Amino acid sequence: MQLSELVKKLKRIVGADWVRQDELHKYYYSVDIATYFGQGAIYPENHPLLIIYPGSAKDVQAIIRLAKQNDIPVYAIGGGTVLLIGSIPGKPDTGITLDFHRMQKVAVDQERMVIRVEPGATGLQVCQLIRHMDFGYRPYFGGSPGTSHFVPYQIFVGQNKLAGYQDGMGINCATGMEMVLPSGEIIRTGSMAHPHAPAWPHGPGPALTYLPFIANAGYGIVTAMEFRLFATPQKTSSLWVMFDTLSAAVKGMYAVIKQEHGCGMCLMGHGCYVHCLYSSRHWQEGVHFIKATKSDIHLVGMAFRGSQSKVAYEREACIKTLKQDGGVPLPSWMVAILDGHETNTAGWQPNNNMRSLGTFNGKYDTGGLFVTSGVFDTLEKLEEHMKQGLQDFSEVCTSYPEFINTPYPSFRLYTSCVQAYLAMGGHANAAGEFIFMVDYANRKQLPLVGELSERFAKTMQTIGSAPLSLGRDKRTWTECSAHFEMAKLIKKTLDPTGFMAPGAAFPASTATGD
Amino acid sequence: MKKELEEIVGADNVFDDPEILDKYARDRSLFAQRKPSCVVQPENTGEIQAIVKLANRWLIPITPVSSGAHFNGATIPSQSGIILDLRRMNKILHIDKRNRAVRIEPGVTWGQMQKELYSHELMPLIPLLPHQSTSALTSTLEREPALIPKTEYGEPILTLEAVLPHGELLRTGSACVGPPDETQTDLVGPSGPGLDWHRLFQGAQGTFCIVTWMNIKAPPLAKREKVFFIPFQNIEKAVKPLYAILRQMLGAECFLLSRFNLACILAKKWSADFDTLRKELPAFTLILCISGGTILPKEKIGYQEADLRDIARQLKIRLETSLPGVDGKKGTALLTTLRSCWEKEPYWKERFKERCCDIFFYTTLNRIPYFTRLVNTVAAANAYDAGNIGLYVQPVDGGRHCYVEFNFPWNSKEREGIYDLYVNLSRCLVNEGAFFGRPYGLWSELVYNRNSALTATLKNLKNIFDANQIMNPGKLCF
Repeated sequence: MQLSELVKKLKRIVGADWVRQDELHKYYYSVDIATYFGQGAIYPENHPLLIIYPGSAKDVQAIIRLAKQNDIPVYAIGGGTVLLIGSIPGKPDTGITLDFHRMQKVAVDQERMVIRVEPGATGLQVCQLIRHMDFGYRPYFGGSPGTSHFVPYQIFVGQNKLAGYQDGMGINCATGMEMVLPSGEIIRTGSMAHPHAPAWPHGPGPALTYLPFIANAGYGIVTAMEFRLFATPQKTSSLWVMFDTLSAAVKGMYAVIKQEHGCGMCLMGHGCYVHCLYSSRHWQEGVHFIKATKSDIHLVGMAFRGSQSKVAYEREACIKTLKQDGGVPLPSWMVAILDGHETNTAGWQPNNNMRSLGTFNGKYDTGGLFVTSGVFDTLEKLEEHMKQGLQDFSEVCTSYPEFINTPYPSFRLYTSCVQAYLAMGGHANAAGEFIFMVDYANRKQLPLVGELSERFAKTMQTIGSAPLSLGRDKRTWTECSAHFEMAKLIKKTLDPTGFMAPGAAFPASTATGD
Repeated sequence: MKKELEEIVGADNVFDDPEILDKYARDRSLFAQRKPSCVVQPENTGEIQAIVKLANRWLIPITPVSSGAHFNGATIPSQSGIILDLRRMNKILHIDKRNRAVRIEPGVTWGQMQKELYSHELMPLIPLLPHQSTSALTSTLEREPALIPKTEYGEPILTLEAVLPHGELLRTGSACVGPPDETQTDLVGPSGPGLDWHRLFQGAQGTFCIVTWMNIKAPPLAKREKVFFIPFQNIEKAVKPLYAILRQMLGAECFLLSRFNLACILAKKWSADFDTLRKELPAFTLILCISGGTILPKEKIGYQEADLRDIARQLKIRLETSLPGVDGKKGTALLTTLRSCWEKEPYWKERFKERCCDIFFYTTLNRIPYFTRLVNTVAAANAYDAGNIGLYVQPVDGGRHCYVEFNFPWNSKEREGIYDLYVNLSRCLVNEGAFFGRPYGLWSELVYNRNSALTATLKNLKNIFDANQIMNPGKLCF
């Protein structure tokens, strides 16, 4: 089919205003952090042919059917801030990209304690709607820069560090899914499988609710999702405790988790001031925090929620426990800086991050984060991971001293922030990552970033951590070949011609990914 | 085929004696029996892989079995074939006290696991009084609800190893990088890589794979506990207190039992004790355990009790620490009974009559009274005495929803009538919005016929995993 004919048909489906093919739009949908320099800038900027803004699941269904008939690749983008190349075409000048900014409906079901959202709905929309209903939700840490404020992304990959072990990761909060399959059929799962289904994500029978997770639209496009709401607690509070050594901090965390106190917990390692930037109301506040803390502190943060007496009891018990391992609770003025985290405990998010991170290089538009070496592991293995990672980091920095000397020493450019946070019931299943603050506009950083990525990948393999399983994570598909083979088979069955997100859902070199 | 099977597992572990086959041909449910061709008892993963490959070559169905008693028809072979009895694989492979997890084989029973975990100051996430021969792995895989309704315990599986229908091995989550004994893999990360495979295997009734080990969460054993019984004269009055208690996240074990069920469980001398208890117990009892750990345990119990008493005052409910008619047993001793296996025969649900038909589904707490009235109405229309119906309500996921189980005891001469009741009631419940998340028997037809795209997708996936349709065919929508 001629492109002009395709455009005409697509305009008939979504309306003339919602089909774009100008160069600016094409450029916008061809770049993100991974094409820019993350992961060593190994991914090219591939332009789509067209950008479409569907207004409903029916629009999506019609577009998919048209694309299938004409063998045109389809890519999908929600908030556009995920930055992990999942929405960028696998080849230059290929396919149509669906942008869901028009699909923004949110609806609360108070009886079932779930909210139904479309893919373009934002965290802010959800927050504003539910806080008057005495509900909260568990987004990805709302203060995290570089990640989407858009709800589906938060739910798909995120976790609330300070509510993680009671409520689990974002994925645990999803209860049902409406998805347009590559065949054009719509499936509804879990809480959406039946008009009266409770907020139960499983079944009937095997759970398909989780099929589209981390698949970059390779199996279909989610047009609505339901996820859990949580009753606003009577009281919330947080506690931040400093430790001199990583081992002491980890020991203290184990002791607290064993008691099942608090609702979530995180450990910010060396360079944890990055977190005070996430959570502070303005950057000066963050600077105060940095000056008041030692450079090599290990900060354990935890949150409490429930009745007045529950929160008071748990705080006291945790202070007692952590002091036994040498912990020193932070004074209240410092804790105030971490208010953003505390807000998260109540179930809302502050959305304050872009602003504060932008300040790190004196500009508001180019600052950001580079995250590498993300793992899920036991807390004790994460300890090993963090120690080795820090050693890698200091060795790489020795080779590139120019990156340590910056005009903004209070932020110590390119110093690492190591953190661990507990999720999935705190059952020893912690997540860790190394985070680097970087300047997007400065391409001189590329060699440093590339070398760090490579060294951390080796460290992960040495200590036996499983890969994080993002779409193009090479280890997912090389070390876990059985999984890859099954995933390819599923892909082939649901999408025999491979027109859904080719090159995005799987590594581009594979048969199904290309 | 028998000869080949004997070469794999040894002649002592292959059975085709009609008497033995007869035992595997039926269970304690209402469903029709069907004899398998043979029964094989493998000892390890390698043997299972070999058997599965053989079944593919011979195109013979395999029905996995890992418990000694079955109540839902899931292990009655729909098309004869091989019964793969996994009860010889009964090792507790590892208890990780620090990370609070236990790795078990499919033949491990709840009782066996509980005993071992207690000695490590951990406890299992046990359902209500399982049969002594019930497999802890299968019960978890089939999503039987645990007594503790905390959200984090609603997802008890960490990682698992499965033999797929073509004989390949798949390990899920962070176990994907290699066998536990050969790598440093941690076994606690349930997600990915890519898809969360274990979720596809849950509730699948053995139609997608055979799980050979599973690493499960095991909470710490409480050092100090206090148990409260909250009596209700009708089910309507239980709803508000349940919401209030669960929204405050008070306590650990929290569930509701009808008088009939509690009497079946607590009666020592049958039937004298049962008759007394039926008279003396309240119509419904909410059982709530509050517990304290090693740090300030007294204070922990203290604040929870204070919060509970606040709720009780506001809602005008009574908090009791013992039950009427139950001599000499304080709350904690009673709870010990309720969170153990049922060690005797007959099974507690089968004390009143020979058998018991369970109808269970998920709904929200506020709809329990409506469903209770509906059940009583349909039972009356089918001439079933409403006084003999048991009810068990297990809040799940912090009370966001609940598992509701109605129990209908029956004798063999009542089979036809009870089957009619089961069919009529199941239809009514599905029509009224009861969610049959674990669709056994007739329920699969009722559930899957209403969701054609979901059913087609499941069938597609089944074809990918099991092109020869050898894994427990005839179950779910397959």
